[in-house]
Amino acid sequence: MRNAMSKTRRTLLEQTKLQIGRMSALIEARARDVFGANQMMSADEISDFSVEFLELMVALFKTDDPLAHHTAEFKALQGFFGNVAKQILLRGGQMTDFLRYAQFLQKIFIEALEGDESIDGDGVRAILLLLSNVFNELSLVVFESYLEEKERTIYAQQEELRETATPITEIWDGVLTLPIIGTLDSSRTMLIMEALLNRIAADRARAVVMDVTGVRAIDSQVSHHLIQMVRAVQLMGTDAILTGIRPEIARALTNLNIDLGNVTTRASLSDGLKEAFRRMEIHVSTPH
Amino acid sequence: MLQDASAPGFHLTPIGHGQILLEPSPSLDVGDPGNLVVAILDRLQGLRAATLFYDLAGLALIDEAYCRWLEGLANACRAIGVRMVCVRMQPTAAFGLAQTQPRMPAFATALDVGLD
Repeated sequence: MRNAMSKTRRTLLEQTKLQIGRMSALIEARARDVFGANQMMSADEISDFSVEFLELMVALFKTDDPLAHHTAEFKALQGFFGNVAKQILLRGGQMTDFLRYAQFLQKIFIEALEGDESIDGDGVRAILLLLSNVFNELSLVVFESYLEEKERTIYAQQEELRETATPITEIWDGVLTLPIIGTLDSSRTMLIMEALLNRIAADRARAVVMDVTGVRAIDSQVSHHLIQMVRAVQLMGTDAILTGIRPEIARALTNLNIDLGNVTTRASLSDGLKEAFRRMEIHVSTPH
Repeated sequence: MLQDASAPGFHLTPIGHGQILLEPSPSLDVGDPGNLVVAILDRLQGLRAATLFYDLAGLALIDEAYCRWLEGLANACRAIGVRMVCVRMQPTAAFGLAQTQPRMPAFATALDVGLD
């Protein structure tokens, strides 16, 4: 078994060394077709990729067991492949293109053995098995890179959504406004609360006007979240003023037995701001 | 001359106009509030305090036991004519407390000393 592996990797090593120039040219030519045309890789990058890839494959064939995933040589090859895949994906390349390219690279090694008549049936089987194992692993690396990249994109989009979902504005020194639009579920309430409390601490806000004009419907859970938010603001020592409660929402709150006794409410955002200014002894006058 | 206003677990600093700042230390044991309350009230009376600012800046989280301790101290202060205001509550502590407490705790809060 050990001898068979030794023979397999020796054959691959010899043929790769013998035909490295031809293989490199083929790898570069295909890379230019796949990645060069749409600027995914520059000519220099393609050349570097080809050289480094073949060097790493040679280093792998020199190890006792090229299929052992824990060796430095195998990890170096995986790392190299992963980095190139990420680079291509970041530049807008398709995962499928890169996977097809990986299949092509495997084919190059198989074609390199065509003229070698010393390889018998068992040898061919062993070589194909080794190559397919190595390239399957490399395909997995590409797939992982793709997933990582997608996750990074999704996370960035979530961050953007989070920022737009909590448009907290310091409308006056120490006065924050937070218009709440849409539905308040548990996770959104957590996000808004976290952002609002941190903003209160950072801006040393004395009053927060929370406007719920854009909240179309309210149920027991939503009202509970709203009260929690008001309570958290008050615990920070900041005045919370709730504005824009529509009649149907007010009726729903009453039906749900929600006690707004400790909450300052005003009809509109404008009234809420006036109340905040009054409490902070800020006088806003209009010129006559 | 200022009295020694420190005791194990807290430090009291007069900041003028009958206002006292209480800074709890990590060694404050709220599990035995009885003696602690008496010690604090004793010093507050000695300092002729009108307002006690309890500094929460060092507490990232306030659990139920700590909340009960604050409420108990605020009630005891009220009994001797001192108003207790908790200041500098951390966002994380407010976040947690708002979710675990079904009502506003029985102590006043302010962003900072002088902003009550």
